Parts: sequence; C-alpha cells; structure tokens
Amino acid sequence: MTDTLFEKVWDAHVVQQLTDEVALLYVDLHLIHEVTSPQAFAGLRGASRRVRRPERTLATVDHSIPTGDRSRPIADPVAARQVDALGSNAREFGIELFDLASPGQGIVHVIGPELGATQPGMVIVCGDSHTATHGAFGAFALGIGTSEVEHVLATQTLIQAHAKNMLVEVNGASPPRTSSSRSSAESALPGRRAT
Amino acid sequence: MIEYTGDAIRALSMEERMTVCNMSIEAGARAGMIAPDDLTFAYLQGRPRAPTGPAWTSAVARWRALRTDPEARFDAQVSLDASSIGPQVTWGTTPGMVADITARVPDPAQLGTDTERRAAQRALEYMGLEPGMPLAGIPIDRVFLGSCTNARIEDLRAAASIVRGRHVAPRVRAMVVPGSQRVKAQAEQEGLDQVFREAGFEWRNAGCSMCLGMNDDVLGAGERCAATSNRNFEGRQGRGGRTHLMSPMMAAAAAIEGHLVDVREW
Repeated sequence: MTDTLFEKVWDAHVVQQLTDEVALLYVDLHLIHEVTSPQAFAGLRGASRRVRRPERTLATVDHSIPTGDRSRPIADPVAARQVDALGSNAREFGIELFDLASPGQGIVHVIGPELGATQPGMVIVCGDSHTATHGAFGAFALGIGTSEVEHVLATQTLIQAHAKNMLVEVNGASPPRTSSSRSSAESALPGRRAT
Repeated sequence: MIEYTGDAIRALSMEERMTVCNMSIEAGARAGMIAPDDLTFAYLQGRPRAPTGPAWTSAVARWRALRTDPEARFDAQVSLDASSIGPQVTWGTTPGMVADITARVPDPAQLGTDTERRAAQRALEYMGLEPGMPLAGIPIDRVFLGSCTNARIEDLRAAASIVRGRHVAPRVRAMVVPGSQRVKAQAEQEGLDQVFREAGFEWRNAGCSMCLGMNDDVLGAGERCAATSNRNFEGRQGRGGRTHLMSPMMAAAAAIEGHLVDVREW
C-alpha cells in the first residue's frame, strides 16, 4: 500500500511494459478537435486502418471556429477546411461529433466533464496541452501530439514514459470571496517554481 | 505529474478543481490530479455518459479506492498556505511571471540569475511596463472572459456578480465566450447574458476564441488584455498583444474600472 493516485491509475492501464520506464497504456477516452486531428485521420486512411474504439472517441470543434453569428459560413478558409474535415472524418470513422450546430458543442475540456464522459481513474488524452483539466476527477489526463493522436485512433493505446510525482498540498482557509482568488493557488505555483 | 491535496483543495468546487488541474501544464507538469470524493461523484451522477443503476454503485465503490496511500512517496513536495495568497495577476510573458495584485512590477535587476534577469527584461519590454509600477492601476484595452481554464457556469456567475448594474469602462472592449453551448444556454436561463450585455460585454458562442487567437478574436499590436485564459506568451492572443492572466472576478472588475484592480476592495 505505497502507491500514489497516479501510480494506481497508471498500473491499471499498462497493456505492455516496454522498458523499465516506458509502457503501452490503454486509453479510456480520446477527445479530438478540428486542429490536431486532420493529419492523424489522413495517416489512418493512408494505412487503410479504422478507428480502434470509435465509441471511446469524442469529437468537437473549438479551436479555430468563429464565436459570432453561426448562421453564416466560416469566413476563414483554413478554419472552414478544418471544420469540414472533422465532420467528414467523424462520419467516415463512426465518431460522435458535436459540431457547430450542436447544442453540445464547446471547448473539448468543458464538454468532457459536462457529458460525464470524464470519469475517475480513466486515462484521457487529447491533442491539446490543457487536457490536464480532466485530472480534477482523478483521471490521468494529458495532452498528446498529432502523431500520437493517430496512434491512439488506430490502437486505443499510447506509449508513455512513467512520470515523476510531485505533491502540492494547499491548506488554509481561502479569503472570504473565494471565487476572486480561485486562480490564486495555481497561479502562485508556477510563480513559485519560476523563482 | 502533480497531485493536489490539502484542505483548501478539498474545499474547492469541481469547476475550481478543473481550473487548478488545467494550469498544471503551466507549472511544467504533464498532468495534474485530484483524488475523487463525494463532490466528484455528485457532479457526475445523472450526466449523459455517467454509469447508471448498479453500474453506478459499483463505479463509485471502485472510484473510492482512487487515492494516494499514506505511505506513498513523492519525488518532490510543496506546501502552500491559501490564506496567504492574494489574487494573482501576471506581469510578464509566462504564467510564472506572476504576482499578487497588491505588488509592483518587479525590477529585473533584483532577480537571482542572469537568465531570469534577461527574461524579465525582455518580458517588460514586450509588455510595455516599467519596474516598480503598481500592478493595480495598469490600464487595459480589452477583456477576455473565456477558455477551458475559466469559462464554466460558475465562472460566469462569479464574473456576473461583479458587473451586475455596472458598465464596462469607456474605450474597453470586453467579451464573454462561454466554455460550451450548454454553459451558454444555462447562463441565458439564469439571465447572466442580460447582465453582461447591459454592462457592455459582447456575449458570444462557445469556443477557444481569444485564448489562442486562431479565429478572428485577436488583440491588435500593443493592445493590453485582462484575460481569464492560461497563457500570456508573446503573440498568444494576437501579434504584439499584451496579456495579463487573472481570475474571472478580477477580469470582470478590470473591465469595469478600465485598469487592473484588486477585486477584494469592491
């Protein structure tokens, strides 16, 4: 009984130990968006692969979309192409998509928890660095690169080096208007580390 | 990998815990985790993808075991006292270049290492700030309430409580970009959209928006923004744009005053 929360989640997901430090991990939830997925799908298509677990994959548009009037077409040609590509990739590979017209659309790290798709003990990945958000539920959630997105789509697994563990303990009552200082502890932390 | 624990973490809502874990990457970690508890289970119960019936009961039983053992060892450990930390505002071009709102812009010459001095010097030049300026009082042009860090319903409620019955300062352009269309719908049901609109905020559709400026929500060169997002890198919100990161209530108060301000004094 000497494991950290992280180690428990890690151990439960090891498919194969590759070296002392590196393991192949099973991924419970793969979140995808329009910016880091087009090349990954192109890679799958090129290799004639399918998505291993489409029901464990959720797609939404968030990064490059306009936030104004949605009844008009997207003016930016790059964004329009990315959004179209995600739509056709989701259809082709059988992935649920929350598109611009969907009442469930939103920032990928907001909709995961909102849907209850984010759950304790999961390994969650997304091609976005702020995937760590889902760790609030006791999940091991991390951002991955586009080539890893392709790997997860194809295999539902990820190659990862075991991480070092840091404990940050925050005690003491928050000041009365807690919300105003809610970002304080986590903002203070990078500051503490930088100095 | 950072695990957050302690009374002050356990006292946070799920939305607040998400904000904390979201910023782990800015502290140099690959991920952040908080052990699930009754608050976590209450948040999840009844959501569309959460287990139901007997599957729910067995899931919760399994989830309760997800906590660090008392004898577990960490490679590093940090203790913070929440009561000693005031609202934080960034003054530079990394999230680590941050200080209490009651503090002054640091003097690069006073910093410990050459690397730090050079980085701070460059950051102040980019940000257009002078050493010794009080942070409170720095004038802003734009306010961005949004992003995966701080655009959940609780964040919008907190910001709305500040702007209700007030108006955005002249020459400040302020926008609210809800984190999801469901958050937007919920806020509209509560009348928060009216509160923001009457105060002079733009009320927009969900997306990452001005957190990274991949769409047309961008800062102009030299424009200074109070932002509830997560990164203040050079050019992050638009070429030449200057970002000060802060909480939703702090950003809302800055919108009303037209400059950075200590929301506790309101």
